Amino acid sequence: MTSTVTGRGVLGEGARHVRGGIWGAFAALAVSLACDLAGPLLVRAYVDDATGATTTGALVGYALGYFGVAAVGVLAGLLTSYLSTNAGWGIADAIRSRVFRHVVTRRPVLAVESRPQGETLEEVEGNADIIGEAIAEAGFRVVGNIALAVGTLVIMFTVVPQAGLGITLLVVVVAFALVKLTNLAVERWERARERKARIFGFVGDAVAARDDLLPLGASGWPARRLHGDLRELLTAERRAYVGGRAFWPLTQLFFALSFGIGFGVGLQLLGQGGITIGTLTMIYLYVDRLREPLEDMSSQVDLVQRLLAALNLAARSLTGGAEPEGARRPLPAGPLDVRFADVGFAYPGSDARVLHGVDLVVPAGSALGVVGRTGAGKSTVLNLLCGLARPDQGRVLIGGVDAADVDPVSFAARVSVLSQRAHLFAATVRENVTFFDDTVPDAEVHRVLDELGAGWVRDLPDGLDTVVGTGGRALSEGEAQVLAGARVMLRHSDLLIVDEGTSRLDPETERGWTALLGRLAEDRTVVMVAHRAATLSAMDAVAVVVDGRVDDVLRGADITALAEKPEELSR
Amino acid sequence: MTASTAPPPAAPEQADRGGFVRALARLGVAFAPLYVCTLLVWTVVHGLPLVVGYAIGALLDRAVAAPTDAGTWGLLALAVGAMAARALVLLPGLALDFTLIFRVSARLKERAVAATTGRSSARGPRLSGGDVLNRVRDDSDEVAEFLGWSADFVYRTVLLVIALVVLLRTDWVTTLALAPMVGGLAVAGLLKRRVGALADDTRARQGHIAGRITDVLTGIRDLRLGGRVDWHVEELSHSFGLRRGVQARHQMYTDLLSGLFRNIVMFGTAIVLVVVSTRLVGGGFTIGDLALFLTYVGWLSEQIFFFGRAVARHQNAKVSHERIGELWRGFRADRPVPAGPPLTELTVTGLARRGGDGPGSEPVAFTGRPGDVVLLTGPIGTGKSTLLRGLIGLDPAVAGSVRWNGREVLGDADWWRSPRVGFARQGAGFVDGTVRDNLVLGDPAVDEAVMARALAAVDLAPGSPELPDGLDTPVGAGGAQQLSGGQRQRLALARMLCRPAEVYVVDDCDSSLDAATARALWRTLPVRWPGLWVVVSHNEDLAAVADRVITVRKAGA
Repeated sequence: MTSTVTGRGVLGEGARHVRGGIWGAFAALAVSLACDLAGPLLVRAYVDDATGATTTGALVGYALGYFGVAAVGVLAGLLTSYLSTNAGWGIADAIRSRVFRHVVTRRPVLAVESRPQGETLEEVEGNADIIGEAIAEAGFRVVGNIALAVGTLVIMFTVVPQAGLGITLLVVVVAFALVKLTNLAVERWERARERKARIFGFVGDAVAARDDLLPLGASGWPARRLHGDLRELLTAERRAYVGGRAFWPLTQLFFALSFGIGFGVGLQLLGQGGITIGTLTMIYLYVDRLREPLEDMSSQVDLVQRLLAALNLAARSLTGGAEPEGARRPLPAGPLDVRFADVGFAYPGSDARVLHGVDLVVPAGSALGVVGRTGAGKSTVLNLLCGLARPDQGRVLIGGVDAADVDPVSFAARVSVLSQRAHLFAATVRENVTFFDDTVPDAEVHRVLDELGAGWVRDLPDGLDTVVGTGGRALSEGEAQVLAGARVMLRHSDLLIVDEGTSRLDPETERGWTALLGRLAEDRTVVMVAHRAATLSAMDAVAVVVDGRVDDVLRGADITALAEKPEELSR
Repeated sequence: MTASTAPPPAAPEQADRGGFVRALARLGVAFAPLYVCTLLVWTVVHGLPLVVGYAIGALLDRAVAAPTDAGTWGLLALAVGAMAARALVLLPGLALDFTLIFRVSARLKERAVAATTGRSSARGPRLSGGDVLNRVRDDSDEVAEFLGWSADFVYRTVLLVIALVVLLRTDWVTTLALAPMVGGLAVAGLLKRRVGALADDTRARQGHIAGRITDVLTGIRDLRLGGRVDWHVEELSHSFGLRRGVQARHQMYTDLLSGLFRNIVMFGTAIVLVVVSTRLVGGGFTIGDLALFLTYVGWLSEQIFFFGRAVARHQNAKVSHERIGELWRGFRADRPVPAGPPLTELTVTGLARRGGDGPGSEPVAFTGRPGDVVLLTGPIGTGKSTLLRGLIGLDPAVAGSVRWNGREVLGDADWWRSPRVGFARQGAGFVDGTVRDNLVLGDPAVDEAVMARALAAVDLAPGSPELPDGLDTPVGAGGAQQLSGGQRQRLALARMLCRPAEVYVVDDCDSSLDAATARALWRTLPVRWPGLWVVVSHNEDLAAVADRVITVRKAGA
């Protein structure tokens, strides 16, 4: 089983890639901090000198010293921001890649398919963006600001112990409140973010379905529903935001009180001659200097809270929903047979059984057709055969290996799937046919396309280099299906699985297709879900599925009879 | 408050040409009460430190002479009280600011979504779903946040003037010596352009990556079974790296810009110290004045720091406004469905695919009356789907003539709306939700009885194994595991039948159905939903019962 992944673990793993950058950023940060802290000390010396009997030259010397320290601080600050940006986005991209890899390689295909893409996109991109922004803009500075606050307190303690004690007590109270507020806000942000992901899932779906909604008079519906959803989101996010940033007013109050304490004590001491006016000015400057980091921290803490929420979500993405690691057995060499032994199945989260005790045998090299009414369970048979789900009962075997345990590399090499949901990628025709394998010669691609009667590809202005898919040249669904078919043709597999592959073809193309399948069936095993009687004639056997059961297996003359009387399909 | 309940404004196209600033001004006016409240509260928040600094200056001057005098304690109480008051005003200030930004952003999101779904994919901008989503999600926030910042512009400028008057009255020589602090603004102009270009680049890459991720998710089944997932993951990781390079440079320039101003406080303090060196010794300048100047220098640089960041954000917001505006450019909301008489005769002549991506098709012609079934058939790649889409105004890439009782309606996207037309197609899109959500589509006229009748007609009875939870059965968006291709086709048909129409346009919704289901379907639908049916199908039973069968051929074939 997968070990548990925590938000902190995710961050640590991401940080490993940019260790050098992180240390560099901290070093630059330390220099800029030292310069910040030195400032008020120089002002104290300056003021004390000014009130004593001194020369203008000595004062200018202090002022120039202050200037030099300021210049070094500026440069160190810039270096810090450059290094921290690089480190922050480096960590974010490492996490992004990891989550994306997990989603597309480890989650069950059926789970990915059933989830709105907007939601998954938000999971991969949205989360990582928050992580990157938070680390780049807040992660390092929050450390710097804490160090600055601590440094200021230490100096105050040494100079005016009474005031330092009071202020330190206040800091402890504020820090305690900060931790409480952070925990509360993290929870609220997590909830708000999940809600937001759902909303954008809906928007993504609605945009994808806009050509359907428009003629149905529902084109205004997505915006209307979004309006209501966003109102609810506003309430949830505002609670999280104000709760998280309540830290700012709190620090303001802290600042007011500590200033009162520091200055009150300072005035008393000044009256007794215990300190100089320069020290009193310095107390003021330090307390004033505390204001900025504390204010910064309130917005940074807000970012850090979102960072923690995003890290937890990323950790959850990495643990949840992963497919249990199968046994990863390779398929045996030579021709492959297929066997369903007493298979029963219900989709996860559903009580309805889709298959009951299905028994099928497809000897190596033969071709089996699966027919049945819509919804009878044909698609499920193929899902199980592709190893996309594991039967609850019985076994599904390819070459004697459980389909769900087949090593994916071995599966890809030995089995071809022509799916009803074949998708054209936003890539060239060549890449779509070779499936991103650039070792396949063009002549081979053309040969296969010609064999499928897809001569129109040669007529395209850019030929095989024509970009299709989203944003590219629009193809009809039939054309897209031919390209998907060609993709399968190129692979020399031992088992071919076809899912309603002929459903979108016009009669002429369908005839060519049937002939082709017949030829393919000669030297490999074929399992095909079909709806049209004509395509069945190339099959050695045809299983009729009714309500999740194999009702009958037809052979020879029975298939011919079925092909002639297609209404038999729905007995 | 009232502003949020109003529907998104129906901004005409020309309004978009007014530029970014005018667009912002319109948004500000739309949310005027909220905007003004935010403005007032934040003026107090940022104004109180000026009061504090003034009190401290006076306090130090008194402290030199009489550290424990009642007047000194009074000044300390004033300073502490002003700080505490600031803390109290902050909470409502934060809530107001957040509400303003969120509402403005929501308005932009709604407008972008309304414009995107209000036009067919062929008529709107050609962007992938991921890219559209990216713009709706992020660019709206960027613009709204900048509107929030614009309130800062107003009150910070007012406060800046007040602060300068106080300083000039205290010591004008030292105040003038601070002038070089403002010189940083010139450098900002140079950096600003670079930031804008890099922001453009970053956002473009983001859109591209989002599109690719969507593409991989859609084709996940083929990629996983074909063993090509890892290749795509590597490719995308590579794209992430390239984006990061641009992103880091963008951040560096943004920080350079903001850091430049932030560090002006140090230089400002140094300037004050050098300038007052002579004056302190001479006695014309007190320690209290020095404290006032040092406090105000800090405050001033905070303001300049803000203006510097705002300049950088301005560029980002402008780019974002441009990007999200692309979604609604040329779109006019709330166009009514033109009035017209009920259909007596639809005359189609010379309708053919022209331009666009595909090759042309031979023109088709037919005449249909209510109750007729017109079947379009023919080899793939001849553009039957484009013809149907063109017929009802979804796709402009068609030529010819379509007359509704003699009135020319080809390409009139507004004419072809429910309750005039119903449309169902192969590969129809659904939203993640229940069957009910997907049938109702927000229309209260679609009630249980209407849905039950439509579902029964397409052989998807609630409670059957196909819809175990009836209308509450979940429908996944992408390619749900519970719904097969045939079920999705029938659900698309049911969705169409749930609303009245005079012309039913069906694009290949029976290809995944078995013969008996398809035959029962075509026996029922045209009878129970009388109207003109224009159908693309290869179904031979339908060919037998159709009133007209038209074969579409490629041009020149």
